[in-house]
Amino acid sequence: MNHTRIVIIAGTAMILFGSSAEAQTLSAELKAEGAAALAKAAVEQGSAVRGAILFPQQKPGCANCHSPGAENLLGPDLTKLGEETTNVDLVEALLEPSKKIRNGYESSTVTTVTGKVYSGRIVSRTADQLVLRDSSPDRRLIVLHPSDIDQIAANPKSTMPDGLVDQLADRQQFLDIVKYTMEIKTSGSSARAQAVPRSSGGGKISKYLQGLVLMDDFQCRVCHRVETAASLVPPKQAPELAWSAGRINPNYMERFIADPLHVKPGTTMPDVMGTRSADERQAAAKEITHFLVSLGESPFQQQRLDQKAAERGTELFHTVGCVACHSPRNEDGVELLSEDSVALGKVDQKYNLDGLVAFLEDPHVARPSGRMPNMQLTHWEAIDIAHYLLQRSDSSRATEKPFKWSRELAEKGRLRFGQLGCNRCHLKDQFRSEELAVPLTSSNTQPGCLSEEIGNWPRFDLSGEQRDTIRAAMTHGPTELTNEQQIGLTMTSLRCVVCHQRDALGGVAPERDEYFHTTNPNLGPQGRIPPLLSDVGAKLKPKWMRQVLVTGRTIRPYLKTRMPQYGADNVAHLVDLFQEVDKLPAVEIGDIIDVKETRNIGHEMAGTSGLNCIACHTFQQKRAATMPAVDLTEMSERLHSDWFYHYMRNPQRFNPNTIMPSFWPGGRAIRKDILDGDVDRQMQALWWYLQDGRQARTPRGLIRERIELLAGDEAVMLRRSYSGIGKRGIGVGYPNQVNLAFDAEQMRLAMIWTGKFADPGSVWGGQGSGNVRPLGSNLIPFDSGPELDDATAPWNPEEGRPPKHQFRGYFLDEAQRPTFMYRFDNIEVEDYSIDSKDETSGDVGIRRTLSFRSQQQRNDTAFRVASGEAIVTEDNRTFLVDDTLRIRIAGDHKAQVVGSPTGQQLRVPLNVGPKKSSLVLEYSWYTH
Amino acid sequence: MPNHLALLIVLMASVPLQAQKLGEYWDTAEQEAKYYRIVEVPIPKGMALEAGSFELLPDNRLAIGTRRGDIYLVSGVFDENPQPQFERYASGLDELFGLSYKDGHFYVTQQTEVTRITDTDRDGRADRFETLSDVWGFGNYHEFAFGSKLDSEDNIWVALCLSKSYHSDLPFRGWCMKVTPDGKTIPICSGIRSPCGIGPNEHGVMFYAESQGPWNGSCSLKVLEPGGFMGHPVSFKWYDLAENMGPKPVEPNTRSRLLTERNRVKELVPYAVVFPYIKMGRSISGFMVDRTEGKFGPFENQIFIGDFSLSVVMRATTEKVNGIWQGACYPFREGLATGLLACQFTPQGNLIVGGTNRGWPVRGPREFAIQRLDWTGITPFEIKQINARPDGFLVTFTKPVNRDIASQPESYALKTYTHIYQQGYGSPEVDHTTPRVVRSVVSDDGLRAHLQIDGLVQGHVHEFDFSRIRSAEGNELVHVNAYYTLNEIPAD
Repeated sequence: MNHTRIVIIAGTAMILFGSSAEAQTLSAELKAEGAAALAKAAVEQGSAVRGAILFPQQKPGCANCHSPGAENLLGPDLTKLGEETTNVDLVEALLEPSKKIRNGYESSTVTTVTGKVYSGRIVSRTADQLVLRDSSPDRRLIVLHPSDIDQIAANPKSTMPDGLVDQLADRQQFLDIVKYTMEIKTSGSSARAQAVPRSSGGGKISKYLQGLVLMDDFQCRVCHRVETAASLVPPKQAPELAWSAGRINPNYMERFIADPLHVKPGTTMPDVMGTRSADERQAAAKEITHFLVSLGESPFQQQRLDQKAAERGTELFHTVGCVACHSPRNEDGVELLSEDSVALGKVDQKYNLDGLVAFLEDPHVARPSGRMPNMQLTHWEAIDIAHYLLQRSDSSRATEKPFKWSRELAEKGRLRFGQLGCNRCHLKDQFRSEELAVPLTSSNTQPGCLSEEIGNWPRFDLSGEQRDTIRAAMTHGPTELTNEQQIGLTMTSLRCVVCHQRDALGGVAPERDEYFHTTNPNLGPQGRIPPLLSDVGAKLKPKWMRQVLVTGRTIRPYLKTRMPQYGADNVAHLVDLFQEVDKLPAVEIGDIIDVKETRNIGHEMAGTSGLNCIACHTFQQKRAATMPAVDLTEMSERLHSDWFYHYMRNPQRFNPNTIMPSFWPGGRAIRKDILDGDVDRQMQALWWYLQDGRQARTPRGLIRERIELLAGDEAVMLRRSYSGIGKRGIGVGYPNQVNLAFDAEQMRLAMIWTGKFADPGSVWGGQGSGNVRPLGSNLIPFDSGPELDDATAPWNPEEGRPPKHQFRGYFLDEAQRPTFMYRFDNIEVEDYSIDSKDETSGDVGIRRTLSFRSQQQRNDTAFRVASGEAIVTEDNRTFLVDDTLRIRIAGDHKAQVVGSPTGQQLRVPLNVGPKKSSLVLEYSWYTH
Repeated sequence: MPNHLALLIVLMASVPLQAQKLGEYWDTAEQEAKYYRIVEVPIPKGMALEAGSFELLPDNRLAIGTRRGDIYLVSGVFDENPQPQFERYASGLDELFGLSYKDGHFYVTQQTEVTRITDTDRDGRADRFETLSDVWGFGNYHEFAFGSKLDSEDNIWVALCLSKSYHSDLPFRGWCMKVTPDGKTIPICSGIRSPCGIGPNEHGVMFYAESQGPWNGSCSLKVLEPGGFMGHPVSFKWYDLAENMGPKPVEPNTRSRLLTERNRVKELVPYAVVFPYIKMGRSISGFMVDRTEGKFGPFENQIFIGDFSLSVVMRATTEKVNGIWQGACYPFREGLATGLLACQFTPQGNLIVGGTNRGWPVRGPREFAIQRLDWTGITPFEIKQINARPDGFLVTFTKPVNRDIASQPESYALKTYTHIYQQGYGSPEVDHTTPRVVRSVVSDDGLRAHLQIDGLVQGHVHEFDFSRIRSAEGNELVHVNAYYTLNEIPAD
């Protein structure tokens, strides 16, 4: 049960977008105002910085169709509108998109002979093909052959829908967008000079290199003297069979060994018993299985499965990246893309739960060459995925006969293992095998592994195309590979290319695109597609890159697909290769005159009053309100400075998917008031600011979470610094919405208030230097100095800590309400407050019971109840202090109103002795 | 020599183009991970768990005291794959930097006081909070208080941070006080600056972790010598309140050397183990001795200490030489997720670490975290410990060394330095010397090398570079540096 409540209130920061649910739509309002007036207002009141940030956001989504500098989009490139497009034109185009449609940007609807309908902009049309940019949400490029087309119809309306501006929050946002488009409309000419057309990816390495990858995959080298060029990826190794024993079902093992190509189509393990009879195969497989089982420590055992875990596993399997290589499956477990996937085979018949979990948690123990990467799963995630992959195993288990191990068979199996040459790939340390170096040349005309015939050679599951590709590599002969070729080889061998695009190579295949997910759609495609690796060596510092590749450091919490780990030995060479190959021209930026001042300006720019980087970027783990773009405080550790300067000028040049705006479109600063609009110096200031890394000063406007500490159905306490008390304050919030703070140094009730308890933000944030801030209202402070003291010579609190008062702690009642304990001289005091609420009036109050005991009878002390400018005696028990606080003294005590330096004081003379005596005080707020 | 050349190139390549404010990494995390795994202890969503102190409970739960003033009792932390259950035992307290449990009571050190906390009705939540001692003044938030666990006589030792980190505005700021089970409070020593950890060393003697700043050239572990003076004289003004301490010591001179001032100020206790700034942390914090009987690897009975700024864990060993405590520190594990404040060995022999990164610069990115270091069972090749000898040092390795290399004096590089003992903040390393290893005698088992050294310097940190040493199998050391503070050269 949660008895107290800590409420964290995310700041309602800048609202970047929202929906307008006013009676009149924003578009109608704006139209009524008129284009000319709006254009003028935009010039005067619009903020191009805000507009730039807004422009690529999901709503309104301008960049979906108008990404600056990109080709073949639905809408015109706004950076190339030119001076002839007036500001008023811009406003009109936004408000009424279909009024004037730019030449070449008309919308058409194409119907195919099979009845499919595509709407969008015809990008190009030749005798051979028609290319159309589809206006559906994913905005694909559709290529159609003229013979497929039934009909093409021109649409009267623009692709840009009417009322798009209604997705904006308010008029100000409209003005911001207009202002930004004004800024960029003529920036295209210089921006173009930098723009490099980006390949859409999907390419492969050359056939020769593909052949090398295949030869490695099928481990040709274990039998052949391979005289091809050497990849820097260490050769692929066969699975560690000693690991498999006890984890892989012996029945499966036996079936697989007997007929690998049929039991697991797509396996890279060859059938080495090509010409043998079915019986012979079966016998050999059985013996070898018994041998392999003998390598394990414990027998294979099936385990119970959990349906709930399997459901979680389904989700994980299809999001964390498993299906980047393996086939996604439907609800019945049927593989949907089995053709183009790495075969999983019948995992459910193969592993037991512990075995598969162990494999998923660290695949490199069983398969050290890292082709199956470590997906950075937690133990619990591995369990869930294993449940998913095994969930259909129960049915097959029932019919399975139990495996009974036989030493005799195992010994035979050991012999078989060597005779069949299994030891060429497996358990090499246990067997000695003679060199069998069949030269691998294309001139060898004898049929062998590459032939489709069955013979006395290993038979591989090779397609015709794969055979051709291998032959191509064989005929190519050895050549020294370039660094870029090595990169391509590594990226293909380790299948980096299924997620990452590097120039024309690789990238997410269209049929797998739907399995790449994000936690935050505001980031657009870059929020779900793993980053481009074009120029990555020019971008990332080697140390960072190594951490990403080798120790699993990640920077993009929004990508659901994980960056897997391949093992340092297999992948670390990429760091040097990327650094070697990827070069950007050095950026010459003048020297810094004043580093501190430069950093200060950078700090200013990062905040809301500058370029507002924190509108989208995380800062020191504090997420921006809209999206968790990469943490600004990690930029300096990651990025090469030259790359930063290039990227900031034109982010889309490096990543067409990014929604990062440029604040220097066309090489002109949007913020002309910072550093005189000097583009280089502005970027330099930001860069130097970012160099402070984790220690960079918090940018202005970063939303600090507000915390409220509130009483629930029990009291809540907080011992910290309170204003007017000092460091030994103890605040108590009571369920009935009354609160007090006790001073455990001066031994006094220090203040009371109603409503919410407290905001501990200043004592729980930073170094903790501040005070707890009482929330609520009607705060009444009391004078400093001990309440219980010598009647004639009370302690002067100006002199510090009262020497005869000693705090002794507190104990809690069943509602967690404290009874404070302290001592004055030889008097023991207990101080217990409870909250009260009048059910009819709703008035709240505090009933405070003080009890005193002393070994010695004494009548020389008094209890100061309250002080004020004027204390009115309502009756001899009830007193009204300064028209705000009513105090009733219950019981036998007689109170006095006496003069004090600040006005009047209400005090109760005490007579204290060995018998416990009590003073009861009732506090309520006086309302007129 | 080609070897030299290669080393030189590596060194040059590692010179940063633009120095990071928090200093360079050791760059050993990748290696360290083979021997010590970092296991995440997940914290429930929405819970801000800023650990400041840990304690083990008899029922196999971990108690966590937090900066926000909660005590959580957590089960499941010691499981191989932890999925812990958190129960809040107490809340509303003030910066818990000391947590100890005995016979049904918690003894906590919070900023204001030492408190005994009890769950009298046994409903799983504390209901009685008794102030054992609050004799010290508390008027500034920076007046942190770090409390030890109960010592063998059930006392709690409390190290009290200065006021605003530079002054001693209120009684006993900058002092260590011993609080007895009945609440009696005994002043132990003066001269503390900014403690961030307190506890016994491997010989059971109470030490504390001091931070770099005025009168402290670098962070250090110091012994809390009763009657002693820890080096920062601003706290001298409270001797009148501490009769047991005798008269106020002589004021130390600024811009001096600690060794020089030791001769002038007889109460001055030299730092036992200096942690050279940035190389070995920047704000050393909570520490604990490995009593796991080998379950945490080859470093049994050594001190493990965290660092707040750099999010690393280091090791230290101490020994008493000529009546003075001294010893060495060694890198251990970097790459923890947050600023470390406290650590705790578990019954299984793993090391829990935790803390927060708020308030001061911290390398670890997370606002707070609890992590566990598990030994993988593979023994790393490391400098196990260094001990002073009259003629040099005895270096002990965790695995046998390559004898050929280890017996050549040229395989060792050594330099010494000290710090300026001064009122100003911190100190550069000064008075550098380069002693020479004259002879190295390797033990028969290959685990020890006795280095005879020409040029030992009393009072200096002796910084070792063992990068040329190889194990018998030919492997490099995981960490090649170690730092011995030679307050005293052992008498023959």
